[in-house]
Amino acid sequence: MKKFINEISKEGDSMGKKYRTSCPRNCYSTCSLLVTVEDGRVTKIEGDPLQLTTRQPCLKGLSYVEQVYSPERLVYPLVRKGQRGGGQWEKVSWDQALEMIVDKLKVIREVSGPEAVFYYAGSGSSGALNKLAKAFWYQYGGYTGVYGDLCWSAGLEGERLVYGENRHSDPQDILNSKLLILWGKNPSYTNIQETRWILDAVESGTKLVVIDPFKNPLAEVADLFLQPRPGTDGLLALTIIQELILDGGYDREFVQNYCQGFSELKAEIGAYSLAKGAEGTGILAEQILALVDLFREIKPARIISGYGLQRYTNGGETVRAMALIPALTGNIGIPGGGWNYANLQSSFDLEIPLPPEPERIRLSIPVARMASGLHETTDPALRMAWIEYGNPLVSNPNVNKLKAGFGKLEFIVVVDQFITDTAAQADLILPAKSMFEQTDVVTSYWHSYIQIRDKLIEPYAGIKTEPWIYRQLALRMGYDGHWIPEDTEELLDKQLRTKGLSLEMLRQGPVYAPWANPVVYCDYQFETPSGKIQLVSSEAEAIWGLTRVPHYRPPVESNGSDERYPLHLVTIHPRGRIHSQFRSNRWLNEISQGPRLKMNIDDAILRSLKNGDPIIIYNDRGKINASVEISWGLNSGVVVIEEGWWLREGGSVDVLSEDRITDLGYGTAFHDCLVEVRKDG
Amino acid sequence: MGKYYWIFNLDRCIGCESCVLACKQEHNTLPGIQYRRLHIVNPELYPEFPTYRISIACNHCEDPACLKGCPVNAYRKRNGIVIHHPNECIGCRYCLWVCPYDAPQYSKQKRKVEKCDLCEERLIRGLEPACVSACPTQALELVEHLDSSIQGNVLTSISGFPEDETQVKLRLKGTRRIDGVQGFSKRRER
Repeated sequence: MKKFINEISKEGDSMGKKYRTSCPRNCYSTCSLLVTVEDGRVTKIEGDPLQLTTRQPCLKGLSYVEQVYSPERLVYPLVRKGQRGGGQWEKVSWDQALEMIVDKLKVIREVSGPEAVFYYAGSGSSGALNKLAKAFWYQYGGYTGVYGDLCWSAGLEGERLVYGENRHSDPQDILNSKLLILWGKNPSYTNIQETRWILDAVESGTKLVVIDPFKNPLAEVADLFLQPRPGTDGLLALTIIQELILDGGYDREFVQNYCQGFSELKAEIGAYSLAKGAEGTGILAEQILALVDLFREIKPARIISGYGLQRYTNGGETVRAMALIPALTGNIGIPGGGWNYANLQSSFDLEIPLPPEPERIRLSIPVARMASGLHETTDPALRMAWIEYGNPLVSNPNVNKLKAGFGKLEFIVVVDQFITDTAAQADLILPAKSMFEQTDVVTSYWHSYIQIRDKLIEPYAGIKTEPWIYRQLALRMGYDGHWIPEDTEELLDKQLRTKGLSLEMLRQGPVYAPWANPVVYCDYQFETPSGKIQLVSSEAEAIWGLTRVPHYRPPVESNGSDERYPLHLVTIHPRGRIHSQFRSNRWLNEISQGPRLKMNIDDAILRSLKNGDPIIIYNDRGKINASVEISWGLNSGVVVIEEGWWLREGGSVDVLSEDRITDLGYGTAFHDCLVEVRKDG
Repeated sequence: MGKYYWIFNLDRCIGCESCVLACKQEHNTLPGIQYRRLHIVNPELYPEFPTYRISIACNHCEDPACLKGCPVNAYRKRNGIVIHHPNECIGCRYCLWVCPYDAPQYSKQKRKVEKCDLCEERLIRGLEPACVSACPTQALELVEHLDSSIQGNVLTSISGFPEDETQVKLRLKGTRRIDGVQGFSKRRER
């Protein structure tokens, strides 16, 4: 076996030897890392000088040194003792654990059919080898699974309807922008490496506009800061479009040459007005006009959109409307201009050979509606669940209902590094590998590099990898083991070579995807039905039953829709974690302040709350514990909390969210969520 | 001597705490001990005042209060770095009282004080301190001399900062946050 061949400092020195790898978390940045290994232990993590886009890792990346060796890390299979969720476990051998699974799988398939098994993989650790799970489940004959996405899919589809693809220019192209609109994105928490380029641009004179319901750290250095009411970003976009079209300022020539459907858009945009936009978004009319003026006056301009504003029931149309602005202002295809939502240029299908797909794969549950889906699925009803790379009882909506759904199953297997809230409800927990314990290939949805995630240490305390688990199960079930080979590095290398790449090449440094463009759409070729930018979309009508022109509809659940719950809850991504991951990291817990709900002073006074008071946040779906943080950074009627908290910390914020689907792309409308708050005790 | 100066750019600090973690990783400090910490000044509490973040470790002052206040001479200066010598430290914590920047950290386990040594070993090897090289936004720099080009652009203090009684070797840059945001102040007046 090839080991540690990606040695960077050949000499080593007393400080150990450094190896290259990359971070596989569900995060924009996908940093390349240099890892020091001493006596087979990870002792230090630094940025990779060859990865110019990310350079320095964030606090989470630095904390892996603690994470890998956390005393809470699972090292052997655990079987539930006593009541489910009771926290009593018995250590079993891998043989016993695998036998138990094989028994269940055989009986369930015989009696109820393979669809009685619910297979769910989250986004906790990316890598091409994750697909090997299918090599097992296909041979099993099928399963019930989910479709859609928890995160970005409403916006992906909104963007695709306009531009035909999901790509944006290199992050460094931000330096060429003269106007940056950071819209619903807080890179200070979620894409720290992007803030460097934004701040560099600002220092060289680029105007920065921040649009966010709460005052994020970059809003403090912005030239203009707009705070729309949650879920009204689409209305803001359409109001801007209306001003640009009816009051002048759009790029006639660009629209004529490269856009389709302008007259239709123009005919319907009259439904919007500055007054209605200001009223609906809660932003002063003069501030909306200030933003419109910036679009009129400054080019190249770039909108950088986040993923939060599309987690509403109107989220897809919000992104579709926003995505029109760079087109109408002629900012597409030029350095410094553009529309940044998702950049899938580095993503490529590293084909992992799979056995023939069986007919009995039942993808019947949108992941947004998993909580309801587990209850409603019949014929056959679900009997068993297999959960890997995910912690749905923290990260998926409507946690209490979801938990009850899991409660009806007779056998739950969770593969994880820690006893998460989900694993706590399992009948059998299998320990999972860490990112340092198996070689894989990762891509980014922000920069355009393909990177190695290398095996740098032997699996800690005899832990097994997921492909190993599936291979053992396959062999015990009597399946063809060659689909899940023992040597996964050989498999990866073979598949990489079909694309002109190799593991060895990736070990030398991040590889800029040979087919990627630093500035996208500079050829003005669009993969849309008309070959032009679709200002209107017949696909929106045909596939999604929406109007050809994007229109604003208020979120199903937002301020005013239920007077019992007057506060709109916005759940932002945490700075010190990725969703529910890193909970067991002592270094990060040292600086964590626990779950804190940001609340406007007026709302706090109304509820007799002082800064730091313990509170209960509740609605019909459940309640969680937190403390209150009084803030002038948000409007009255809006409350903001970081997501990802576990039960023992106060409870997942998604106890409070409904399992609703978005208008486009089968996304998850987490942010259609109203709550009330009261003092605890 | 008095060589090194921290230069901290208030506009570039987004409060990510990578510096805090890098310091922790470099010195492998015990739980609860952080030589470098992030302070958020006015976390949106007072609307008329700006919010900004500042990351602080030991400022290696020209006239260090810790050194003057230490009864056993556990603090000494070496090449402009204020070095704490644990062998001499008796854990009396006088330095915690006198340091205006809360740089010395008391370890209950060790019953001694610890603090930032400016990553002296890294400096000798020609590397920047761990916190500086880990800062993703380049908000934090270490310079060897304050030449006139730097001096003209930096502040020694901002509101909320202790009066400079120790000849602090920290300089501050960036005024955008302090000046406030156009949109925000307008909305406030409403």
